[in-house]
Amino acid sequence: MTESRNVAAVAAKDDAVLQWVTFRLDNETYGINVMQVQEVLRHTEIAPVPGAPHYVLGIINLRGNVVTVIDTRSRFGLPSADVDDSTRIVIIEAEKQVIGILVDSVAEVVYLRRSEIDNAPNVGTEESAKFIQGVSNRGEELLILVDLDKLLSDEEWAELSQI
Amino acid sequence: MSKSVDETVFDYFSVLLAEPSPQVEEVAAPVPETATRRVEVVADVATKPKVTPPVVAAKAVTATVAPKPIAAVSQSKTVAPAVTPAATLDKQALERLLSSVVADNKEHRDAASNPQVKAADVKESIAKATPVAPVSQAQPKIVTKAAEKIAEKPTAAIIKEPTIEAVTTVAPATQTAAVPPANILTLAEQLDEEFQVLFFKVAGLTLAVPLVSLGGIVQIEHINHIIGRPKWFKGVQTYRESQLNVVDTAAWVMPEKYDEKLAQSINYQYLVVLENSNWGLACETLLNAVKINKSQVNWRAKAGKRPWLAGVVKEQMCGILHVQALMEMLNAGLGCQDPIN
Repeated sequence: MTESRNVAAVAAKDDAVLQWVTFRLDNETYGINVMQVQEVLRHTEIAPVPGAPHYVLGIINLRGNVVTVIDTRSRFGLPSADVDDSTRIVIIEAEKQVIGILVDSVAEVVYLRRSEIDNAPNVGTEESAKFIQGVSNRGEELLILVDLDKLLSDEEWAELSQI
Repeated sequence: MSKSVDETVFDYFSVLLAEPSPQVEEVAAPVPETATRRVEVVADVATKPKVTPPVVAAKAVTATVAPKPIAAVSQSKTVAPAVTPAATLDKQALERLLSSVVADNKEHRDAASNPQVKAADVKESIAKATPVAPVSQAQPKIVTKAAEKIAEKPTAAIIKEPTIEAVTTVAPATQTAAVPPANILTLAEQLDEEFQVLFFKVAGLTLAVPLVSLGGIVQIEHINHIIGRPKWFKGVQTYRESQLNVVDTAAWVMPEKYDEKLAQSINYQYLVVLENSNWGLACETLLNAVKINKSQVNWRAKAGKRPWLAGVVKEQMCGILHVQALMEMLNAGLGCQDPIN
Protein backbone atom coordinates (compact mmCIF):
# COMPACT_ATOMS: atom_id res chain seq x y z
CA MET A 1 0.00 0.00 0.00
CA THR A 2 2.80 2.33 0.98
CA GLU A 3 4.68 1.38 -2.13
CA SER A 4 1.74 2.20 -4.36
CA ARG A 5 1.42 5.57 -2.65
CA ASN A 6 5.08 6.24 -3.31
CA VAL A 7 4.66 5.32 -6.96
CA ALA A 8 1.71 7.68 -7.21
CA ALA A 9 3.68 10.43 -5.53
CA VAL A 10 6.58 9.99 -7.91
CA ALA A 11 4.23 10.00 -10.87
CA ALA A 12 2.60 13.18 -9.62
CA LYS A 13 5.99 14.76 -9.13
CA ASP A 14 7.07 13.80 -12.65
CA ASP A 15 3.87 15.23 -14.03
CA ALA A 16 4.74 18.70 -12.85
CA VAL A 17 2.72 21.70 -13.93
CA LEU A 18 4.63 24.20 -16.03
CA GLN A 19 3.60 27.72 -16.92
CA TRP A 20 3.96 29.01 -20.42
CA VAL A 21 3.62 32.51 -21.80
CA THR A 22 1.82 32.26 -25.10
CA PHE A 23 2.26 34.55 -28.05
CA ARG A 24 0.95 34.67 -31.59
CA LEU A 25 3.04 34.58 -34.69
CA ASP A 26 1.60 34.19 -38.17
CA ASN A 27 -1.72 32.77 -36.94
CA GLU A 28 -0.09 30.15 -34.74
CA THR A 29 0.18 30.15 -30.97
CA TYR A 30 3.56 29.54 -29.40
CA GLY A 31 4.52 29.06 -25.78
CA ILE A 32 7.70 29.89 -23.93
CA ASN A 33 8.64 28.96 -20.40
CA VAL A 34 7.39 31.64 -18.04
CA MET A 35 10.58 31.38 -16.00
CA GLN A 36 12.53 32.75 -18.93
CA VAL A 37 10.27 35.72 -19.48
CA GLN A 38 11.26 38.93 -17.75
CA GLU A 39 8.75 41.35 -19.13
CA VAL A 40 6.60 42.22 -22.11
CA LEU A 41 6.92 45.60 -23.82
CA ARG A 42 4.86 47.42 -26.34
CA HIS A 43 6.62 47.97 -29.60
CA THR A 44 9.11 50.75 -29.37
CA GLU A 45 11.65 52.18 -31.70
CA ILE A 46 14.32 49.63 -32.51
CA ALA A 47 17.65 51.09 -33.52
CA PRO A 48 19.26 49.09 -36.30
CA VAL A 49 22.82 47.93 -35.79
CA PRO A 50 25.05 48.10 -38.86
CA GLY A 51 26.74 44.82 -39.58
CA ALA A 52 24.52 42.86 -37.24
CA PRO A 53 23.38 39.35 -38.21
CA HIS A 54 20.27 39.17 -40.37
CA TYR A 55 18.17 37.81 -37.53
CA VAL A 56 18.86 40.88 -35.38
CA LEU A 57 16.37 43.67 -35.79
CA GLY A 58 18.36 46.07 -33.67
CA ILE A 59 18.67 47.29 -30.12
CA ILE A 60 16.42 49.04 -27.64
CA ASN A 61 17.16 50.97 -24.51
CA LEU A 62 15.51 49.25 -21.58
CA ARG A 63 15.91 51.44 -18.52
CA GLY A 64 19.50 52.19 -19.38
CA ASN A 65 20.37 48.71 -20.57
CA VAL A 66 20.90 47.87 -24.21
CA VAL A 67 18.84 44.87 -25.27
CA THR A 68 19.16 43.18 -28.63
CA VAL A 69 15.89 42.40 -30.37
CA ILE A 70 15.58 39.29 -32.51
CA ASP A 71 13.39 39.11 -35.61
CA THR A 72 11.41 36.08 -34.56
CA ARG A 73 9.54 35.75 -37.83
CA SER A 74 12.78 35.65 -39.75
CA ARG A 75 14.20 33.18 -37.30
CA PHE A 76 11.20 30.93 -37.69
CA GLY A 77 11.28 31.18 -41.46
CA LEU A 78 8.02 33.09 -41.58
CA PRO A 79 7.22 36.02 -43.86
CA SER A 80 7.65 39.46 -42.36
CA ALA A 81 4.64 41.44 -41.20
CA ASP A 82 3.91 45.03 -40.42
CA VAL A 83 4.08 46.25 -36.87
CA ASP A 84 0.68 47.05 -35.41
CA ASP A 85 -0.87 47.93 -32.09
CA SER A 86 -0.69 44.39 -30.76
CA THR A 87 2.97 43.86 -31.60
CA ARG A 88 5.05 43.17 -28.52
CA ILE A 89 8.68 42.72 -27.56
CA VAL A 90 9.07 39.91 -25.08
CA ILE A 91 12.17 40.29 -22.96
CA ILE A 92 13.58 36.87 -22.20
CA GLU A 93 16.63 35.37 -20.61
CA ALA A 94 18.30 32.50 -22.37
CA GLU A 95 21.83 31.20 -22.33
CA LYS A 96 22.64 33.79 -19.66
CA GLN A 97 21.75 36.63 -22.00
CA VAL A 98 18.82 39.00 -21.99
CA ILE A 99 17.31 39.59 -25.39
CA GLY A 100 14.02 40.69 -26.85
CA ILE A 101 11.94 38.75 -29.33
CA LEU A 102 9.43 40.53 -31.54
CA VAL A 103 6.06 38.80 -31.70
CA ASP A 104 2.68 39.60 -33.23
CA SER A 105 0.94 39.64 -29.86
CA VAL A 106 1.12 38.16 -26.40
CA ALA A 107 -1.90 36.17 -25.30
CA GLU A 108 -1.85 34.68 -21.82
CA VAL A 109 -0.10 32.42 -19.35
CA VAL A 110 -1.23 28.81 -19.51
CA TYR A 111 -0.63 25.89 -17.18
CA LEU A 112 0.38 22.60 -18.70
CA ARG A 113 1.24 19.28 -17.13
CA ARG A 114 4.25 17.54 -18.59
CA SER A 115 1.97 14.71 -19.61
CA GLU A 116 -0.03 17.12 -21.73
CA ILE A 117 2.98 17.90 -23.89
CA ASP A 118 3.47 15.78 -26.98
CA ASN A 119 6.49 15.48 -29.19
CA ALA A 120 6.47 17.59 -32.29
CA PRO A 121 6.48 15.72 -35.61
CA ASN A 122 10.09 14.79 -36.11
CA VAL A 123 10.42 15.26 -39.82
CA GLY A 124 12.19 18.55 -39.74
CA THR A 125 15.40 19.02 -41.57
CA GLU A 126 15.68 22.75 -41.34
CA GLU A 127 17.52 24.51 -38.59
CA SER A 128 14.36 26.00 -37.17
CA ALA A 129 12.98 22.52 -36.52
CA LYS A 130 15.03 22.27 -33.34
CA PHE A 131 13.31 25.28 -31.78
CA ILE A 132 10.20 23.25 -31.15
CA GLN A 133 10.32 21.20 -28.00
CA GLY A 134 6.77 19.96 -28.12
CA VAL A 135 3.14 20.64 -28.84
CA SER A 136 0.06 20.57 -26.72
CA ASN A 137 -3.63 20.48 -27.52
CA ARG A 138 -5.69 23.12 -25.82
CA GLY A 139 -9.23 22.59 -26.97
CA GLU A 140 -9.36 23.45 -30.63
CA GLU A 141 -5.99 25.13 -30.49
CA LEU A 142 -2.53 23.67 -30.81
CA LEU A 143 0.12 25.28 -28.65
CA ILE A 144 3.63 25.02 -30.05
CA LEU A 145 6.24 25.11 -27.30
CA VAL A 146 9.50 26.82 -28.10
CA ASP A 147 12.86 26.00 -26.57
CA LEU A 148 14.37 29.47 -26.25
CA ASP A 149 17.85 28.15 -25.50
CA LYS A 150 17.91 26.64 -28.98
CA LEU A 151 16.65 29.75 -30.67
CA LEU A 152 20.24 30.51 -31.55
CA SER A 153 23.27 28.32 -31.93
CA ASP A 154 26.21 28.61 -29.55
CA GLU A 155 28.09 30.67 -32.11
CA GLU A 156 25.13 32.94 -32.59
CA TRP A 157 24.68 33.45 -28.86
CA ALA A 158 28.36 34.35 -28.66
CA GLU A 159 27.99 36.68 -31.62
CA LEU A 160 25.01 38.31 -29.99
CA SER A 161 26.93 39.06 -26.86
CA GLN A 162 29.39 41.10 -28.91
CA ILE A 163 26.79 43.49 -30.26
CA MET B 1 -9.17 21.93 -64.78
CA SER B 2 -6.64 24.19 -66.38
CA LYS B 3 -4.59 23.07 -69.29
CA SER B 4 -1.41 23.30 -67.29
CA VAL B 5 -2.74 20.86 -64.75
CA ASP B 6 -3.69 18.44 -67.50
CA GLU B 7 -0.23 18.66 -68.86
CA THR B 8 1.18 18.14 -65.42
CA VAL B 9 -0.78 14.95 -64.95
CA PHE B 10 0.05 13.70 -68.40
CA ASP B 11 3.73 14.40 -67.96
CA TYR B 12 3.72 12.78 -64.56
CA PHE B 13 2.30 9.50 -65.65
CA SER B 14 4.33 9.51 -68.82
CA VAL B 15 7.37 9.51 -66.60
CA LEU B 16 5.94 6.78 -64.41
CA LEU B 17 5.12 4.51 -67.28
CA ALA B 18 8.39 5.17 -69.01
CA GLU B 19 10.47 3.78 -66.18
CA PRO B 20 12.07 0.57 -67.43
CA SER B 21 11.38 -2.72 -65.68
CA PRO B 22 14.30 -5.10 -65.43
CA GLN B 23 14.07 -8.71 -66.45
CA VAL B 24 13.54 -10.72 -63.32
CA GLU B 25 13.13 -14.33 -62.41
CA GLU B 26 9.73 -15.54 -61.43
CA VAL B 27 9.54 -17.22 -58.08
CA ALA B 28 6.78 -17.85 -55.61
CA ALA B 29 7.11 -14.82 -53.42
CA PRO B 30 5.75 -14.90 -49.87
CA VAL B 31 2.88 -12.73 -48.87
CA PRO B 32 3.74 -10.34 -46.06
CA GLU B 33 1.66 -9.50 -43.13
CA THR B 34 0.24 -6.03 -43.09
CA ALA B 35 -0.24 -3.67 -40.23
CA THR B 36 -3.45 -3.50 -38.28
CA ARG B 37 -5.94 -1.37 -40.09
CA ARG B 38 -8.33 1.17 -38.76
CA VAL B 39 -11.58 0.11 -40.21
CA GLU B 40 -13.86 2.46 -38.36
CA VAL B 41 -14.26 4.82 -41.24
CA VAL B 42 -14.81 2.03 -43.64
CA ALA B 43 -17.45 0.82 -41.27
CA ASP B 44 -19.04 4.21 -41.57
CA VAL B 45 -19.43 3.51 -45.22
CA ALA B 46 -21.80 0.76 -44.37
CA THR B 47 -23.61 2.61 -41.64
CA LYS B 48 -23.97 5.88 -43.47
CA PRO B 49 -24.98 4.97 -46.98
CA LYS B 50 -26.97 8.18 -47.34
CA VAL B 51 -23.89 10.32 -47.69
CA THR B 52 -23.24 8.98 -51.15
CA PRO B 53 -25.26 10.49 -53.93
CA PRO B 54 -27.12 7.61 -55.51
CA VAL B 55 -27.10 8.91 -59.06
CA VAL B 56 -23.37 9.31 -59.31
CA ALA B 57 -22.79 6.10 -57.46
CA ALA B 58 -24.98 4.08 -59.74
CA LYS B 59 -22.79 5.04 -62.64
CA ALA B 60 -19.69 4.11 -60.81
CA VAL B 61 -20.47 0.40 -60.69
CA THR B 62 -20.46 -0.01 -64.40
CA ALA B 63 -17.77 -2.02 -66.05
CA THR B 64 -15.77 1.02 -66.95
CA VAL B 65 -15.10 1.66 -63.25
CA ALA B 66 -14.16 5.19 -64.12
CA PRO B 67 -13.82 7.56 -61.15
CA LYS B 68 -16.75 9.90 -60.80
CA PRO B 69 -16.69 13.02 -58.67
CA ILE B 70 -18.68 12.93 -55.52
CA ALA B 71 -21.37 15.54 -55.42
CA ALA B 72 -21.55 15.88 -51.69
CA VAL B 73 -19.80 14.51 -48.69
CA SER B 74 -20.89 14.48 -45.10
CA GLN B 75 -19.74 17.41 -43.05
CA SER B 76 -18.92 15.24 -40.10
CA LYS B 77 -15.33 15.03 -38.95
CA THR B 78 -14.96 11.54 -40.26
CA VAL B 79 -16.55 11.03 -43.59
CA ALA B 80 -16.88 7.84 -45.46
CA PRO B 81 -15.03 7.19 -48.65
CA ALA B 82 -17.40 7.58 -51.51
CA VAL B 83 -18.39 4.01 -52.02
CA THR B 84 -21.07 3.35 -54.53
CA PRO B 85 -24.29 1.89 -53.10
CA ALA B 86 -23.96 -1.28 -55.08
CA ALA B 87 -20.39 -1.63 -54.04
CA THR B 88 -21.14 -0.76 -50.45
CA LEU B 89 -20.51 -3.61 -48.10
CA ASP B 90 -22.13 -4.13 -44.79
CA LYS B 91 -19.87 -3.75 -41.80
CA GLN B 92 -19.52 -7.43 -41.03
CA ALA B 93 -18.80 -8.30 -44.59
CA LEU B 94 -16.18 -5.61 -44.79
CA GLU B 95 -14.56 -6.73 -41.58
CA ARG B 96 -14.39 -10.22 -42.98
CA LEU B 97 -12.89 -8.79 -46.11
CA LEU B 98 -10.23 -7.01 -44.14
CA SER B 99 -9.68 -9.80 -41.63
CA SER B 100 -6.93 -11.37 -43.61
CA VAL B 101 -4.87 -8.24 -43.65
CA VAL B 102 -5.35 -6.95 -40.15
CA ALA B 103 -3.03 -9.46 -38.56
CA ASP B 104 -0.59 -7.93 -36.15
CA ASN B 105 2.66 -6.81 -37.58
CA LYS B 106 4.32 -5.50 -34.49
CA GLU B 107 7.52 -4.75 -36.23
CA HIS B 108 5.84 -2.60 -38.76
CA ARG B 109 3.74 -0.80 -36.17
CA ASP B 110 6.81 -0.02 -34.16
CA ALA B 111 8.47 1.45 -37.16
CA ALA B 112 5.40 3.45 -38.00
CA SER B 113 5.02 4.80 -34.50
CA ASN B 114 8.65 5.68 -34.12
CA PRO B 115 9.13 9.15 -35.52
CA GLN B 116 12.87 8.84 -35.52
CA VAL B 117 13.18 6.14 -38.09
CA LYS B 118 16.33 6.55 -40.06
CA ALA B 119 16.67 5.95 -43.74
CA ALA B 120 18.80 2.89 -43.19
CA ASP B 121 16.17 1.49 -40.85
CA VAL B 122 13.57 1.96 -43.51
CA LYS B 123 15.40 -0.22 -45.91
CA GLU B 124 16.11 -2.83 -43.29
CA SER B 125 12.59 -2.99 -41.92
CA ILE B 126 11.04 -3.30 -45.31
CA ALA B 127 13.41 -6.10 -46.14
CA LYS B 128 12.16 -7.98 -43.10
CA ALA B 129 8.63 -8.36 -44.40
CA THR B 130 7.33 -11.51 -42.75
CA PRO B 131 5.65 -14.03 -45.02
CA VAL B 132 2.25 -15.39 -44.04
CA ALA B 133 -0.31 -17.65 -45.57
CA PRO B 134 -1.85 -16.45 -48.80
CA VAL B 135 -4.46 -13.79 -48.26
CA SER B 136 -7.10 -15.65 -50.14
CA GLN B 137 -6.95 -18.47 -47.61
CA ALA B 138 -8.52 -16.42 -44.86
CA GLN B 139 -10.55 -14.08 -46.95
CA PRO B 140 -14.14 -14.92 -47.67
CA LYS B 141 -15.54 -14.03 -51.02
CA ILE B 142 -18.08 -11.29 -50.78
CA VAL B 143 -20.39 -11.14 -53.70
CA THR B 144 -22.17 -7.88 -54.17
CA LYS B 145 -24.13 -6.52 -57.04
CA ALA B 146 -21.23 -4.31 -57.87
CA ALA B 147 -18.87 -7.22 -57.90
CA GLU B 148 -21.21 -9.22 -60.09
CA LYS B 149 -21.53 -6.39 -62.53
CA ILE B 150 -17.83 -5.86 -62.66
CA ALA B 151 -17.31 -9.55 -63.19
CA GLU B 152 -19.93 -9.72 -65.91
CA LYS B 153 -18.54 -6.74 -67.76
CA PRO B 154 -14.79 -6.91 -67.69
CA THR B 155 -13.06 -3.84 -68.97
CA ALA B 156 -11.62 -3.82 -72.40
CA ALA B 157 -8.44 -2.38 -71.03
CA ILE B 158 -7.26 -5.67 -69.58
CA ILE B 159 -4.20 -6.50 -71.57
CA LYS B 160 -2.23 -9.12 -69.77
CA GLU B 161 -1.71 -10.84 -66.48
CA PRO B 162 -0.08 -8.70 -63.80
CA THR B 163 3.62 -8.96 -63.40
CA ILE B 164 4.02 -10.45 -59.97
CA GLU B 165 7.54 -11.66 -59.79
CA ALA B 166 9.95 -11.54 -56.95
CA VAL B 167 13.09 -9.74 -57.90
CA THR B 168 15.97 -11.95 -56.97
CA THR B 169 18.52 -11.12 -59.58
CA VAL B 170 18.53 -7.35 -59.47
CA ALA B 171 21.90 -6.20 -58.36
CA PRO B 172 21.83 -3.97 -55.28
CA ALA B 173 24.25 -1.64 -56.99
CA THR B 174 21.48 -0.49 -59.27
CA GLN B 175 19.18 0.30 -56.34
CA THR B 176 20.74 3.60 -55.64
CA ALA B 177 17.79 5.11 -53.88
CA ALA B 178 15.34 2.38 -53.34
CA VAL B 179 13.68 0.10 -50.89
CA PRO B 180 14.25 -3.54 -51.82
CA PRO B 181 11.80 -4.34 -54.59
CA ALA B 182 10.53 -7.45 -52.87
CA ASN B 183 8.48 -5.18 -50.68
CA ILE B 184 6.69 -3.63 -53.60
CA LEU B 185 5.81 -6.98 -55.02
CA THR B 186 4.26 -8.04 -51.80
CA LEU B 187 1.63 -5.37 -52.16
CA ALA B 188 0.27 -7.13 -55.20
CA GLU B 189 0.53 -10.44 -53.45
CA GLN B 190 -1.12 -9.41 -50.25
CA LEU B 191 -4.16 -8.24 -52.15
CA ASP B 192 -6.88 -10.54 -53.36
CA GLU B 193 -7.36 -11.09 -57.04
CA GLU B 194 -10.12 -8.53 -56.71
CA PHE B 195 -9.72 -5.68 -54.29
CA GLN B 196 -11.24 -2.31 -53.62
CA VAL B 197 -9.46 0.96 -54.12
CA LEU B 198 -10.40 4.51 -53.31
CA PHE B 199 -9.63 7.10 -55.94
CA PHE B 200 -8.86 10.63 -54.86
CA LYS B 201 -7.66 13.68 -56.67
CA VAL B 202 -4.94 16.21 -56.00
CA ALA B 203 -4.16 19.09 -58.35
CA GLY B 204 -5.66 17.21 -61.25
CA LEU B 205 -3.73 14.09 -60.39
CA THR B 206 -5.73 11.00 -59.52
CA LEU B 207 -4.29 8.54 -57.05
CA ALA B 208 -5.61 5.25 -55.79
CA VAL B 209 -5.21 3.68 -52.39
CA PRO B 210 -6.28 0.12 -51.57
CA LEU B 211 -9.12 0.18 -49.05
CA VAL B 212 -7.26 -2.30 -46.88
CA SER B 213 -4.58 0.36 -46.46
CA LEU B 214 -7.02 3.15 -45.74
CA GLY B 215 -7.07 4.31 -42.15
CA GLY B 216 -9.87 6.76 -42.60
CA ILE B 217 -11.02 9.96 -44.23
CA VAL B 218 -10.90 13.13 -42.18
CA GLN B 219 -12.22 16.47 -43.24
CA ILE B 220 -9.61 19.20 -43.15
CA GLU B 221 -10.48 21.86 -40.63
CA HIS B 222 -7.60 23.76 -39.12
CA ILE B 223 -4.04 22.85 -39.91
CA ASN B 224 -1.37 24.17 -37.58
CA HIS B 225 1.81 25.06 -39.36
CA ILE B 226 4.93 23.77 -37.64
CA ILE B 227 8.07 25.68 -38.46
CA GLY B 228 11.20 24.04 -39.74
CA ARG B 229 9.48 21.21 -41.52
CA PRO B 230 9.87 20.20 -45.15
CA LYS B 231 7.79 21.98 -47.74
CA TRP B 232 5.59 18.94 -48.19
CA PHE B 233 4.76 18.84 -44.48
CA LYS B 234 1.66 21.00 -44.34
CA GLY B 235 1.30 20.88 -40.59
CA VAL B 236 -0.72 19.03 -38.01
CA GLN B 237 -4.43 18.77 -37.47
CA THR B 238 -5.90 17.82 -34.16
CA TYR B 239 -8.05 14.75 -34.51
CA ARG B 240 -9.49 12.77 -31.62
CA GLU B 241 -7.08 14.31 -29.12
CA SER B 242 -4.04 13.49 -31.18
CA GLN B 243 -2.30 15.07 -34.10
CA LEU B 244 -2.49 13.99 -37.69
CA ASN B 245 0.54 14.91 -39.73
CA VAL B 246 -0.78 16.50 -42.88
CA VAL B 247 1.13 15.82 -46.08
CA ASP B 248 0.81 18.31 -48.90
CA THR B 249 0.30 15.52 -51.37
CA ALA B 250 0.96 17.59 -54.47
CA ALA B 251 4.20 18.89 -53.01
CA TRP B 252 5.25 15.40 -52.02
CA VAL B 253 4.27 13.52 -55.16
CA MET B 254 5.32 16.04 -57.78
CA PRO B 255 7.74 18.50 -56.22
CA GLU B 256 9.15 19.35 -59.62
CA LYS B 257 5.78 20.74 -60.69
CA TYR B 258 4.93 22.31 -57.38
CA ASP B 259 5.30 26.05 -57.52
CA GLU B 260 3.57 28.98 -55.92
CA LYS B 261 0.92 29.13 -58.63
CA LEU B 262 0.04 25.46 -58.25
CA ALA B 263 0.07 25.74 -54.47
CA GLN B 264 -2.46 28.54 -54.54
CA SER B 265 -4.71 26.69 -56.94
CA ILE B 266 -5.07 23.67 -54.69
CA ASN B 267 -8.02 23.52 -52.35
CA TYR B 268 -7.47 20.64 -49.99
CA GLN B 269 -10.63 19.24 -48.44
CA TYR B 270 -9.88 15.86 -46.93
CA LEU B 271 -7.15 13.80 -45.40
CA VAL B 272 -6.65 10.24 -46.54
CA VAL B 273 -5.28 8.61 -43.39
CA LEU B 274 -2.71 5.91 -44.03
CA GLU B 275 -3.46 2.65 -42.25
CA ASN B 276 -3.11 3.03 -38.49
CA SER B 277 -0.55 5.79 -38.72
CA ASN B 278 -0.92 9.46 -37.94
CA TRP B 279 -0.13 10.43 -41.51
CA GLY B 280 -2.81 11.94 -43.69
CA LEU B 281 -2.52 12.73 -47.37
CA ALA B 282 -4.33 15.95 -48.18
CA CYS B 283 -6.62 15.65 -51.17
CA GLU B 284 -9.01 17.90 -52.99
CA THR B 285 -11.67 15.46 -54.06
CA LEU B 286 -12.71 11.96 -53.17
CA LEU B 287 -13.81 10.24 -56.32
CA ASN B 288 -15.12 6.77 -55.64
CA ALA B 289 -14.24 3.35 -54.36
CA VAL B 290 -14.44 0.52 -56.83
CA LYS B 291 -13.48 -3.10 -56.93
CA ILE B 292 -10.80 -3.81 -59.45
CA ASN B 293 -8.90 -6.83 -60.56
CA LYS B 294 -5.17 -7.25 -60.18
CA SER B 295 -4.88 -7.52 -63.93
CA GLN B 296 -6.21 -4.00 -64.21
CA VAL B 297 -3.07 -2.71 -62.57
CA ASN B 298 0.26 -2.44 -64.27
CA TRP B 299 2.32 -3.47 -61.25
CA ARG B 300 5.81 -2.12 -61.01
CA ALA B 301 8.27 -4.96 -60.94
CA LYS B 302 10.96 -2.85 -59.38
CA ALA B 303 10.67 -0.40 -56.55
CA GLY B 304 13.07 1.95 -58.25
CA LYS B 305 13.16 5.45 -56.94
CA ARG B 306 9.48 5.37 -56.05
CA PRO B 307 8.85 2.51 -53.65
CA TRP B 308 5.63 4.30 -52.64
CA LEU B 309 4.18 3.69 -56.09
CA ALA B 310 2.99 0.11 -56.43
CA GLY B 311 1.77 0.46 -59.97
CA VAL B 312 -0.59 2.22 -62.30
CA VAL B 313 -4.28 1.46 -62.67
CA LYS B 314 -4.61 1.10 -66.41
CA GLU B 315 -8.20 2.19 -66.84
CA GLN B 316 -7.89 5.37 -64.82
CA MET B 317 -4.24 5.91 -65.66
CA CYS B 318 -3.52 6.73 -62.07
CA GLY B 319 -0.92 5.62 -59.59
CA ILE B 320 -1.81 3.13 -56.89
CA LEU B 321 -0.04 3.75 -53.61
CA HIS B 322 2.03 1.28 -51.65
CA VAL B 323 0.94 2.69 -48.34
CA GLN B 324 3.43 0.84 -46.17
CA ALA B 325 6.40 2.01 -48.20
CA LEU B 326 4.97 5.50 -48.25
CA MET B 327 4.58 5.49 -44.48
CA GLU B 328 8.15 4.35 -44.05
CA MET B 329 9.37 7.21 -46.17
CA LEU B 330 7.23 9.75 -44.35
CA ASN B 331 8.35 8.47 -40.96
CA ALA B 332 11.92 8.93 -42.10
CA GLY B 333 11.14 12.46 -43.23
CA LEU B 334 11.86 11.61 -46.83
CA GLY B 335 10.34 13.41 -49.73
CA CYS B 336 9.34 11.78 -52.99
CA GLN B 337 12.70 12.39 -54.58
CA ASP B 338 14.92 11.96 -51.56
CA PRO B 339 17.28 9.02 -51.75
CA ILE B 340 16.62 6.40 -49.12
CA ASN B 341 20.23 5.32 -48.82
